[in-house]
Amino acid sequence: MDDVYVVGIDMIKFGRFPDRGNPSLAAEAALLALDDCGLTLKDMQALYCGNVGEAAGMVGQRMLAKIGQTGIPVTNVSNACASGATAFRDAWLAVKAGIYDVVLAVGVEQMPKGLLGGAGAGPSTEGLIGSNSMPAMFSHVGVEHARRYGTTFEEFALVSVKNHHHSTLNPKSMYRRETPLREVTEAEMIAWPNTKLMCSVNVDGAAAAILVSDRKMMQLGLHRRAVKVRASEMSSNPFAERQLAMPDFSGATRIAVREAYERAGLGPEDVDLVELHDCFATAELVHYENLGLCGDGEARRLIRDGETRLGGRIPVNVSGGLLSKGHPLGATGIANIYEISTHLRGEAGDRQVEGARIGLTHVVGGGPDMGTACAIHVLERV
Amino acid sequence: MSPCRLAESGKVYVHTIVHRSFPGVPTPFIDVIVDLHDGAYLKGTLLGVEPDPGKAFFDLPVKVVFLEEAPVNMPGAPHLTYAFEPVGSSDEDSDHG
Repeated sequence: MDDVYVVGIDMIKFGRFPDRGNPSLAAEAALLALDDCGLTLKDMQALYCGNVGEAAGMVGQRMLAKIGQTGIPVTNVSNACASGATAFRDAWLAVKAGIYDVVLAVGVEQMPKGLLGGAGAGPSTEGLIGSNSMPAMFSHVGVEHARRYGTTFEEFALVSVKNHHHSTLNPKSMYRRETPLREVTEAEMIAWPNTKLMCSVNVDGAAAAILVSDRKMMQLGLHRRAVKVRASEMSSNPFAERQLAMPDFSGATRIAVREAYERAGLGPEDVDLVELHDCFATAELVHYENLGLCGDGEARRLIRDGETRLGGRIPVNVSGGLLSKGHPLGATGIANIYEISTHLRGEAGDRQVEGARIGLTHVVGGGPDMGTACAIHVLERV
Repeated sequence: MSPCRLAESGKVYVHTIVHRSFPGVPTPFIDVIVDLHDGAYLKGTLLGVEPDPGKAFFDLPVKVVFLEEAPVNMPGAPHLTYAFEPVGSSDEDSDHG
């Protein structure tokens, strides 16, 4: 089967746009991605659109109504925090299978205000039977790491110091402000050990990518800035011992990354930079180990020694991550791929990871009584 | 599938101290995952312990207590619910001897 390439990719600067909607934000990102490679909507043979908040709202069609109704097939995808990456992977599958040569993938989210998670219908259990908030859930994940390996509050907080620092170099990040360790640890406590500065930023955003076949890329002469998709893998949550009490994000991540390394024919030692799902500072350290960036129990050392900082052995979340760039659920998966692609193209400016050849993206989403979706992409400079 | 009765005591596996919850929910409170003595796992609120992160929570012996509380979205309408409390040194409730 032919290889699949990203030839156009971009994202809007994440922010808060209360007077716009998902279709408008998605359209802006799609036009940016088309401009990035000089193609038009008329060249697109299919659209895959990832979004969570309006999962039943046909966001893809409404986006096309704003920028061009060419009659192409539209698939609207919803898969929690992996929605954008799932749309990208569906586009990849369609090209990989030889069905289409040029496909557009878009991820978009206009976020509700405030804390995510919480009550559905019926009596709320919040406070009576623990908490259903996302921060509480990911604090348990971090405390489990602390239980096993002795990880400290300060070590988790260092993740936020790093990612906020990275974001000062990224013009498309929501926030671009240094947050010294003391500011992070003394910020409002949300769910111990995650303070407010250790929670991802609730913002609106959109990102889009154009995927093409090998043949089409050469025909269009778009190989110079192309990025090769070496692996596109997904997984769902395998059985986990405490799953009825405590959602698990590690099992799915470990399955997907193992498959991704195998498909790409490489290992974590070959990866030059990573954008992983730092929805909370506690999550980032756990995923260092899940993704094989270090051995189990070694994440503490990685963050303390600065190995995952820009300039370190394996820079992680150089974009600023979900913690500072922001986390518009449906957009995140493609925004991560945009960040890696920008480095592989050597176009990342002040935050460029020098000589980047291979990059990895990871998103994982889900929640109590739902399950988990994980998507991993391995990308290579052409 | 048929209903089964779970153990009413166990040990804290992990905890978090929730300071920011949904509107109307009193904070802080302690949210724990408990390994019950019969091998099941249960999430709940831990009562009777100061919400101080410096305290030792890992493996703290706890028991299940049943109580009536009104959900935050149904004030004045108490529902039967459960929570955890630490097992005191003189407590006879522990079912693991």
